[in-house]
Amino acid sequence: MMRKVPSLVDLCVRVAVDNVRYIGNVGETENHLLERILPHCTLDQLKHIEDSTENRDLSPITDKLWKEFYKRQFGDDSINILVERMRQKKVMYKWKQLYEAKLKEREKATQESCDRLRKRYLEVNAKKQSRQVQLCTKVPSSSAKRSYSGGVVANNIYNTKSGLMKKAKIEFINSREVKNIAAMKNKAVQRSHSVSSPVKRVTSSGPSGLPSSSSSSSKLTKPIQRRF
Amino acid sequence: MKKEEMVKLISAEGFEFVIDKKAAMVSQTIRNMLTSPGSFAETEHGEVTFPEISTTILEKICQYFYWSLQYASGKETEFHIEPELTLELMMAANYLHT
Repeated sequence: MMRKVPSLVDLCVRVAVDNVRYIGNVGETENHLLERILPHCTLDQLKHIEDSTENRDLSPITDKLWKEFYKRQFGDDSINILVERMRQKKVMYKWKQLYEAKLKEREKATQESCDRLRKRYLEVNAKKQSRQVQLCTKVPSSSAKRSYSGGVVANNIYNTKSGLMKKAKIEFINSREVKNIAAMKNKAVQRSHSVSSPVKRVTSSGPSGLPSSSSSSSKLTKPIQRRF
Repeated sequence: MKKEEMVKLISAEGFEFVIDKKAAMVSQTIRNMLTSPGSFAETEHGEVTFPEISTTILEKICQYFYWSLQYASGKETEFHIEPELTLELMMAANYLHT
């Protein structure tokens, strides 16, 4: 029995369809062959093929494919409106162009929408911020606090209820590094302000600007002394 | 082997493929060329020149001819086609009505 042998054309079409993603320039491939292959393309694949195939207008085959893509993306209603409009104006546009135009329009609308939303968020945020308590960078000056190695830090000692934390904080204050920084700060402040005498005595004593350990009994009491 | 049973197919580059006449006749176009001599300028002494078909493609076509005869006689195998040849092969096959 003579079986029907698959034609070479059919075999090629089959392979082409399987490999449609690799197709670029279709050159002079006959229309009826393209009709069998191109419907298997995705939108991007079709676009690539059309872009790669120079000097040839593929729209006799691709126009209806683009119409289908348009329909899928933008819906039947949109298509019907366009078809009607074109009929009235007696104009025929290529569906590829219509698709690309519509896509652009959508993208623009989305972008504008995003921008509006972003603006709204910023406005709401700004409003919230204006009601919040703002942190000041400038510490209000007061003679009592100026001599502390770190005014705010000293305050923390007041607030500490736990003895262990208190001790730790005091040790930190009395560490060399903190003392140095405080001394530099105090020296700068000294130049610009007049200071009450007890405070002055304290700050001008050691090389670091703070009283040396020999002049008093314990480290613990010094910060307290300096305060008054 | 009688000479009449063989034909020569010549590619664009001048490569000559000598194959069985029976195989070549798988192509309707070649069949027409060979069975009505004088009407086709390309046919001369059982030789057909294809100035538009490259050597690689013509070779593949000849392979197809033999595969086709095999298939028709019952031995059904797969005819593999390299993807990069596909479009060109398809166009040549279309021209050759095969």
